[in-house]
Amino acid sequence: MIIISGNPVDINTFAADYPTGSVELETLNRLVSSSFTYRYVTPEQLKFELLLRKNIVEASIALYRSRFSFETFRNSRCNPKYWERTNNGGFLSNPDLSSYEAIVDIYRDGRRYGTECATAMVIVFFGALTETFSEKLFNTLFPKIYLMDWQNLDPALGIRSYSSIPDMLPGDCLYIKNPDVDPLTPQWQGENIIDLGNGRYYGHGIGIHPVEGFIEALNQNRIEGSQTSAYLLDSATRPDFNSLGDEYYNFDSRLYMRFYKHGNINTVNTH
Amino acid sequence: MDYSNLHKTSCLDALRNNKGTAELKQYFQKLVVQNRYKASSIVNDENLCFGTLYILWPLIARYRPLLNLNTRNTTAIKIMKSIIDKKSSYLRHLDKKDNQAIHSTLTWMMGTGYTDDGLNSQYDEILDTAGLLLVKRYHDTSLVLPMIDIVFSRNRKGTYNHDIAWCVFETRNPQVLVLIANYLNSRNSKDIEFAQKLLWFVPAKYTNRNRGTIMDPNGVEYWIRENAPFIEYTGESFQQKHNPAPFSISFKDKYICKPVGASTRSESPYEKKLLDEFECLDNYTKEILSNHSFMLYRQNRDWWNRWMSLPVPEQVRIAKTASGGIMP
Repeated sequence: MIIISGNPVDINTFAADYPTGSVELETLNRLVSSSFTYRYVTPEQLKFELLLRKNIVEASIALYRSRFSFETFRNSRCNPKYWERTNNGGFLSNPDLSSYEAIVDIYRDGRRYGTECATAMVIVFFGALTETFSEKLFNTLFPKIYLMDWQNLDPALGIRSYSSIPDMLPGDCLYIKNPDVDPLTPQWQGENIIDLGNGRYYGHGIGIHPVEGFIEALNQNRIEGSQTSAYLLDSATRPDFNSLGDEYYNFDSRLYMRFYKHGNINTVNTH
Repeated sequence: MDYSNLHKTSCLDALRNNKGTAELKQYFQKLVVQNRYKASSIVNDENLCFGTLYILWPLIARYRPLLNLNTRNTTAIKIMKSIIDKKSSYLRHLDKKDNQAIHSTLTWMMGTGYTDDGLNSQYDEILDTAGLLLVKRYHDTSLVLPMIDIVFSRNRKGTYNHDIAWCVFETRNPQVLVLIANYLNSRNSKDIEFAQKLLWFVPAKYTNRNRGTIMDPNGVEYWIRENAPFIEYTGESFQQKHNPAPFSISFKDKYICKPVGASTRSESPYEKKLLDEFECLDNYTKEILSNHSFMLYRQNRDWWNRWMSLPVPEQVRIAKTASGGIMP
């Protein structure tokens, strides 16, 4: 169920804006048919979440199609023009260049990059934001980016993990745990996957499959003799859709005010 | 020069410490050619450190037919090869022949090798995997202290510590939190910061006028001592989320005052009914109820029995209004 400003929402109000089979429509359907109540302050808040979720799904597929490879942190690699590879296998964006361009380069020149699945998920979230925000807003929010699994995340992303979630939604990052992983391949202790909708998921290093495909792949990397299967957790990692939405909607007005004061209104950028 | 009598423990380690790795390799190579029996004997020295064997590994491989290596060294070389090649099958093959040899060799590798952590990336990977094999395959947690040392030492240097930190928590022993809490007293700010990051989920913070909100090492120990029977391993790691809480309190076990796992194994019909109702409560109420239950249980078993016989809503009412010990 969706409630906006205290009122239940008729899905038809929004559904007409999105094509059949779209990520936005699937997300709307899951929200509306849920027994959980999803509350929004304004329709724009919901629309932004739908937009960003769609872009997360598209960024996942784009990353899968780029030649971005799976490497352990020890063997991770990146394009040194845009990123500095840190001693622990993370990537630190070049402070002299646009962090927006640094993220775009991963998608554009994927063959120069390789890392593990958790970092790939953070790249997907940033990739989705390059499609959502203007370069100016993106660089304002994220002047410097450090990519290293889920550590050292920029607070502006507002990444949080939610336990016992009522619904898994397209664009959610889920986790499949492999409790009996072979100690020789600790990188397969679990797999972060993005819900692409329609029962498909993207996990870096394994590909695009139903959940069972990932479980099967992880089970092949268990300690010998193990009878304990990998399994999907009922938790999800999400960016803070509301605060990112606020940035999205407020950016133009902030720019407007700044340029208005300086009599340079014509240079105001769009999102 | 004959280095073999320089040190009464291991002459190769002494040579390495005094003259460096280049001279160590040079000496060993010469010795193998001149006196292969002596070369075998000194590399088989029971006091040899794993780091030295690792440094000599390429030479040992080259002159393998001339050397008569002991079980420890042959096993260590096979383990290293299986780690580098990512082939569990090598270990499986070894396992069938002598499981104990692998276990004791891994213990030697970690126990004597951790001081050489940082030799190079490959060496660090071997150490990490040796730790993981000990913990996950042999359920041996005796070397968790050196593993924690490695975690913090690498954090200071900014090198890769993801796997070894995960390995420490995979011991599933909450006492590792106490060992980590020792680093809250470190003079190195990176140690303190990292210890706080790992222990964020332990409610042991207090506000200091000069240092802001900081974590109290004694508070961590107190939390573990108070909740020991009810602390369960969650398996969360940095691969899964940005703020993993590898341990948490099982409120349901604390409420029923039975150690983790015991309530599901031996619950009475009445306990089952209580637990079913307990599961329907929100997390905040669960915490209040479980804390109150365990406090009563320790204060007076009769009070606790009487309180537990009350309907759950009445238990909640009493627990919420009570502050400190109460008599129901």
